[in-house]
Amino acid sequence: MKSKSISSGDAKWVFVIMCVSKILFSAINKFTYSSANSGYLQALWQGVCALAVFGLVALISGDNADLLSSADDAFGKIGLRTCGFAVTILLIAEAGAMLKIYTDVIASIALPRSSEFLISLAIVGASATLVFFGIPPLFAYCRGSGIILLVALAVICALNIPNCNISEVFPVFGNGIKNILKINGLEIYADMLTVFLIVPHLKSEKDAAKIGIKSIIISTIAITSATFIYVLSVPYPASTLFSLPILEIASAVKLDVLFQRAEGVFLFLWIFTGFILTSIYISLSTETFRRSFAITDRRAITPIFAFLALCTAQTLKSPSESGIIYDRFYIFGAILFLFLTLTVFITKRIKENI
Amino acid sequence: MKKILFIFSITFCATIICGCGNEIDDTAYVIAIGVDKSGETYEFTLAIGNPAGINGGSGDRETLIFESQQGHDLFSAGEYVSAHLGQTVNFSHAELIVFSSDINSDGTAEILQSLTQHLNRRPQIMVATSSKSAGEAVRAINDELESNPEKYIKKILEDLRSPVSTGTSGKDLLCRTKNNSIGTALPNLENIDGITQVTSFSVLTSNETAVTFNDFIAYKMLFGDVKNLSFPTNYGTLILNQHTSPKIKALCGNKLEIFVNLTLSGTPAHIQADASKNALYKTTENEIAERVNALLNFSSKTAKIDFLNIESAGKKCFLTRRQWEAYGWKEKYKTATFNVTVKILPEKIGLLSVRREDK
Repeated sequence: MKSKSISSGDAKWVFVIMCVSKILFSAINKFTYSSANSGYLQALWQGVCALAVFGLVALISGDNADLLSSADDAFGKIGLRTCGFAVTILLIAEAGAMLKIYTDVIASIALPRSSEFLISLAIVGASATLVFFGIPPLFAYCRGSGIILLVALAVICALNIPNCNISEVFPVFGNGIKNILKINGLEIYADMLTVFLIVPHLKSEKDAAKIGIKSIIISTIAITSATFIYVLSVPYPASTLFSLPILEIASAVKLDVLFQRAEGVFLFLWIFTGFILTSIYISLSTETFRRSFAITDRRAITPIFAFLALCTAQTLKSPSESGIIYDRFYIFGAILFLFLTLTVFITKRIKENI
Repeated sequence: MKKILFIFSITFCATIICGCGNEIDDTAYVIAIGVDKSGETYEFTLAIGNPAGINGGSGDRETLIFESQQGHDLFSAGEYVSAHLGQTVNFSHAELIVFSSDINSDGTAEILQSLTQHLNRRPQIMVATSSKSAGEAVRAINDELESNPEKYIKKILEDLRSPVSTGTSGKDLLCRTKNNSIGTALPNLENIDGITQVTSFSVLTSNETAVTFNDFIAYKMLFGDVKNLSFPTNYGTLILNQHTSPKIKALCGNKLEIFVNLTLSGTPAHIQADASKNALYKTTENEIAERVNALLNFSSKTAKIDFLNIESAGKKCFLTRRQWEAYGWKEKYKTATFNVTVKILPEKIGLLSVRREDK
């Protein structure tokens, strides 16, 4: 990969896709379970908290925000390899879990007669091909894709406006201010921390914090708006019934006889983001591993990581199992990643000041 | 090399996930569903579209095929019907589900939940009840079906002559059945002289016999849904339109007080020779207020459940759901007092000059 080849504009949209795609699963349910009809306020609060946490990490990171070189500075070669290996494992596991969930939903909604393994293979094959061509084309592709994702989401929300009942906003604070202010769903923004993995490849290394902040703001607006539309169109407590809230509002679209059911838009988003996310995770894990172990040929290890992601996806059997594992793993992974990042940056700063 | 690899990967992906899904001839698309109680189970009547008969297809073939099957749930009944027809039953085009009146709200919620759980379903399916057999009500729609089943169902449920444009959809009903403090009113279908019509509304209540009412006009006004409605009085007839939703305010004290403010616009269609325009407007306002008040009192004192969605006004008085639940809307609603005011604003001037006494 050529260094300094990713513009901050491209990178911003990668992280927007990584965060916003979570609401295509059941992320909105977390907010409605906890805060009932004021779930959108909780979604907004999680965005504010994510901004604060990311800002803090960016502040601690100092001038050199690259996680791997900071690990090298702080703990030496062993630190670099341990950190790189841990991050690689996390990213591969995320790619596997993501692949499994996307495959399950595609198999149950769009392609019920196709083999799940073949669907996974198709996604991994396409992702591996894109990763094989390098990260810059993938990030450039994400710029257009991110905009398409937000536009398609906005279309689903806009088509649902006739189903919205503004009185569902009341009581304004839902299950109470305490629930709104709970840290529940912050892991949606966990992928923002991977911005510290791509720092050496950014055209301007100082842009890392700016990219993160802009991505969080855009994602928060999109997530809060989608949650708001869901809360208004599906009254509580029925809003806690549906496992895929965005699919529910997409299928409820009915604009007279001519325009009904926007599941097609949802499915497009689903397949589209499934492919992009798997590609991003595989490419980031490949790149992290390459840098940690000083491997010169990134292309040689790409198929191995794609195969590992496919194997991880195949170890999860049922959709419910993968859903639970995905949820728990994601929270665990987010905490671990945050802990790792903070440890590396704090140790590096302490060493710098000694 | 890159190009070859790229083309190969795309071709590979395209070949492994393509394939024939269901052929249209192998699928039986259900248009309407009737649900009757049959002992401990249900009897489901499925109206299945017959592509050969629709759009004048081939001669005198029926547009719908009817199949009845008993079962604990809709999908096991659907499987029996699939086996019988040699086609896979698909519910994704179902437009109407009719429940017989002996199925209470719990049974309705159970069936709707299973329909919602299933992926092949239409969230906006219209829900109705039938005072007699739901199967008969569904079978009666055959003769009137033209090329578009949705058009027909709209005709019975949303036509001015059977004035139910505030029909409840499957998703709305499912949402409402999950809320214990409110009820639901569903259009009641009856077969009169071979024509399926909406004759009244049934209020769904848990484990109790459904109560019915037939003042469609008051019901529609409370949902802000009046369009080109002729309202005759002793002084003449006004054509009414409702451009704004009713303003409903609830005072949630020890005794619940509800204020309903309706604003309509009216155009005189006919004025009696000895009447004035003012008198026509005033009388219409008073009559509407009386009817809306009667419907509100019916929901509160007879049906004993808020099926008119007044609770959305009540919720505004509270900041959290805990406070709202502690208030006990369901019980308070039974003793609520209602105050209805109606204002009709002139919509069009008309071609006749204003009489002197009107000035």
